[in-house]
Amino acid sequence: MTRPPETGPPGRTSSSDSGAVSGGRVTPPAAEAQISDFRSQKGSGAFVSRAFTVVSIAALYYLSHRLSGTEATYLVHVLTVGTIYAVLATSYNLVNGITGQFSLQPNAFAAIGAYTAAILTLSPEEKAMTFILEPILPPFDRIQLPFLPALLAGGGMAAAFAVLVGLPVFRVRGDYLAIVTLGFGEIVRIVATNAIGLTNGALGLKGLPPYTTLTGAFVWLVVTLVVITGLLRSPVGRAWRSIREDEQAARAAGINVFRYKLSAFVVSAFFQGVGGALLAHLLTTVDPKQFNFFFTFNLLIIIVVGGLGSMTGAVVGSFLFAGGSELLRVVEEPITIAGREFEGIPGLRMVIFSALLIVIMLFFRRGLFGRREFSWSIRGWRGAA
Amino acid sequence: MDLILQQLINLLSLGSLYALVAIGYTLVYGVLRLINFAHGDVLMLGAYLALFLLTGMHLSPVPLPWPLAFAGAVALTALAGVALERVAYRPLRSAPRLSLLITAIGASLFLENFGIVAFGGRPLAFPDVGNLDRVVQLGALSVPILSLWIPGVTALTLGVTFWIVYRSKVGMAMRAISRDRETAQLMGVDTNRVISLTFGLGSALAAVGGIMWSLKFAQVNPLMGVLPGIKAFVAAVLGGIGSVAGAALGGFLLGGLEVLFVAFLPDWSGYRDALAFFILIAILLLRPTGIMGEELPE
Amino acid sequence: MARGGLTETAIRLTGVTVRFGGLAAVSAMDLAVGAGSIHGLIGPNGAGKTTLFNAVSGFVHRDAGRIEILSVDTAGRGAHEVAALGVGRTFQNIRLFGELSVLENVLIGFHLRTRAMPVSAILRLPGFGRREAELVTDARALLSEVGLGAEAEKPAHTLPYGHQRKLEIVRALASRPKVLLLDEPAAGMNTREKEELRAFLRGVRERHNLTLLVIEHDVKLVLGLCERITVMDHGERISEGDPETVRRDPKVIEAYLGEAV
Repeated sequence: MTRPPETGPPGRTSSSDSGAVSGGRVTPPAAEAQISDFRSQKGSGAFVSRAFTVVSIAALYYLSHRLSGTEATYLVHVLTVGTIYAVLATSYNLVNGITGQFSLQPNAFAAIGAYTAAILTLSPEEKAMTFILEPILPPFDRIQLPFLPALLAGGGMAAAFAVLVGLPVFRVRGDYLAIVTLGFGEIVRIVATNAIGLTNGALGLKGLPPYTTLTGAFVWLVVTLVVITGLLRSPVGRAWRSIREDEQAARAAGINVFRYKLSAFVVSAFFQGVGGALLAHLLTTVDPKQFNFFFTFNLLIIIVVGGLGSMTGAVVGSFLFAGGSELLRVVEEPITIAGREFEGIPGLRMVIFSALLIVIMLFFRRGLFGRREFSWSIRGWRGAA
Repeated sequence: MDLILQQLINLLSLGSLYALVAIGYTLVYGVLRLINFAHGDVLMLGAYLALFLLTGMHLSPVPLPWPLAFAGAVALTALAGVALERVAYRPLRSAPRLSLLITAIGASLFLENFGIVAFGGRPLAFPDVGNLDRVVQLGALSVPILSLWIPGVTALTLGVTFWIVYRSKVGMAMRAISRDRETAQLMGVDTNRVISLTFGLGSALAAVGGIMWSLKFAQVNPLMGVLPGIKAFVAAVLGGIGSVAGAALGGFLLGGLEVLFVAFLPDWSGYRDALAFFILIAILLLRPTGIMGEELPE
Repeated sequence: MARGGLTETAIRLTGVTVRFGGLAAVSAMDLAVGAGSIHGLIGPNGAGKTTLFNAVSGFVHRDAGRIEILSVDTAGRGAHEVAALGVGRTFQNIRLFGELSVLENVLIGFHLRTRAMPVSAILRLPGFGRREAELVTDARALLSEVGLGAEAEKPAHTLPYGHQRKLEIVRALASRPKVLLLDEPAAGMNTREKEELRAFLRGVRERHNLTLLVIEHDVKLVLGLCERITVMDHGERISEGDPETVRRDPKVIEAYLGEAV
């Protein structure tokens, strides 16, 4: 088990987390909030830990900026992929781990975000060259937007579709969510293949501007975490967790279960749309096969390994996965051991990953972090049981 | 007239396949409240097993005659289904449902990728057996004899299944568990045994479907179970999940709607696979219990 | 205490019927629970008591009849909307948010009196932090009031059984209900705990100005606790009155034949 970093300032009397609610405000001990998972904390400890958080974000920002300019392009690429995965995984975790609704959504919403943003950022000349089967539908042939509005449009489009899909599912029975989202991912793929005037069909969109940098991805990860952890420590987050724990009891407490399931789904879809758009502008291509079911499956593994419900776990899991799947490439490539050449086995990685998922579920259901969250204080590490 | 007859024959064979697979979903959902995502992949397994026994690859030293090969494949697939439940699902029976669903997805992906690694990612040709592609004349219509075989075999299989579910003692136990597992247990039903048998029966039906699917399309591939899997689930929901007769009805209905869609909107045939999804959404909005389903207790 | 005296009705059922499949679990029930009273609901197993509760709290749909809570018709309202009318409830087989802390269970109980304020939460505005701190103070006060103050940080599922029952009641109280429905609050308790529970419920009624409707198997407890009792069997009301009247009603004795009265 990973040990918490022992950087907490000495002499503090209670737990805190990164970025507590009210910086520096001293209130009587009776009002000390200890909300498991995400704790609000009062007093000087909160100020210190918030300062730690701001300083480390600044340091990481600077580091990502410096790295981007260096020769270590492969490392930067893997780190950028890991960061984008973290955006996707933390938002996916919101639905599966926090609200407890089993969903297989990310590939669908990432694809919607990626296509939306790509159509908006491609220059009119590039579009004219790319759309060889059928010209692109007006007015998209002339539109070109900068990256930020395109990203927001991608997220917004994904969120809008999340409302359309979520309304019927959450109104009746949540246990169809998985199959509906699985089917929806297929629909997105089918539409992307057939709506040639918008998506260029199976050929996909190529030559996107390479807007995504490690620094940009990092900023989006911070935004995602700030929004999600902020919600989690509010009554909204409590309502989400109560649904995971016991839906009937949540209803008895006056929680509109339908609305909260839908809101978790929509918030999650927004960031997955953004994540998909970031990925598209890193790889500079989008095509229908890119966001297949395996994409969702990878993210599922990430949040299960990290610990369902732990945002810390989702972030750590993302980087482990980005690194690990690079390392595991070995098993699919020919290798030479003791002078003899062994052929690589294509697809073996996925066999290992799917077996891993089953083994974790059977024997280590809490994953690496359970439901605990990172905190600057050692005592704050406990989190919910 | 011939066109209608032709479409009717298409409907019957497509509907048969959906119906057979849908029953497996409905049975398992009934006893475990689990959407068994791996069910479509069990179909794929059945198809490959049949191929290996037929051709004498891997499993059998000599090519087997087709009745023997098919029966063997159905039996082995049933065993595989039982093993799947035993290894992956049973230990999690008292765990949160989310864990069970995740394991089911894991099992599905494992079977698919195991298929890719062990059998190769490329499609393999499935041989024609017993001259099933021989064409017979029905009035002015030429129909491959397979298109008549599929509904016939399905009718027979469904008959046996209905008898098991609605008439036999095991079937009664299945239905009792699906109403209320605790009470069934109190009344002396051996739930473990019944759940095993349920997986066995569901998987055997999937294998029958898989074999006929392979005969119809003359090939097998490791991902062949994915789309029929999703669609058969929709068929089960359409008919009313938990109801075996409903699943069969849902299968034929879905097959019919797909055939009509392609017949009337040929320009949109690329979207045919999307139809099932919109049907699923429509049922959820209009009649969440499906056609023959009843409100299941939480 | 009860505004307008005991003549006011907190819960009124007229001809309420609930069917499962073809079977009527509750049929044509009439019931009037006076505001500020403690009203008992008893009857043999399968009499339809819990189904009646579920209908009143909006968890099951009624097939016929009218349910009014504080003079508001609940037709077409979901469980969370009925809760918003001022109905709190507990469940026969305790439903806590098991992995969350005791404190957090109560905070979730506050849901109806808090606004979500998602934007202030995300931006970590001071007003939001203050409001959360107030909620925590209130929750701790409520827990201390019932003697659970020391267990605030424990995961709810680790509490002993009796405390879990208590916590469920506290969580229901947190939403400041006007009517509290308790489904077998004494199940699994020993005689001493039952005695405590009786005093606790009476105290709660006074302090929170509540109407209580209680399902309970322990007839002795019900007779000692409730001012008025309704007896159900086979989905119907077979007797109603003050404890003494009900205890002597031959129909009640008949329904309980075989069970100790």
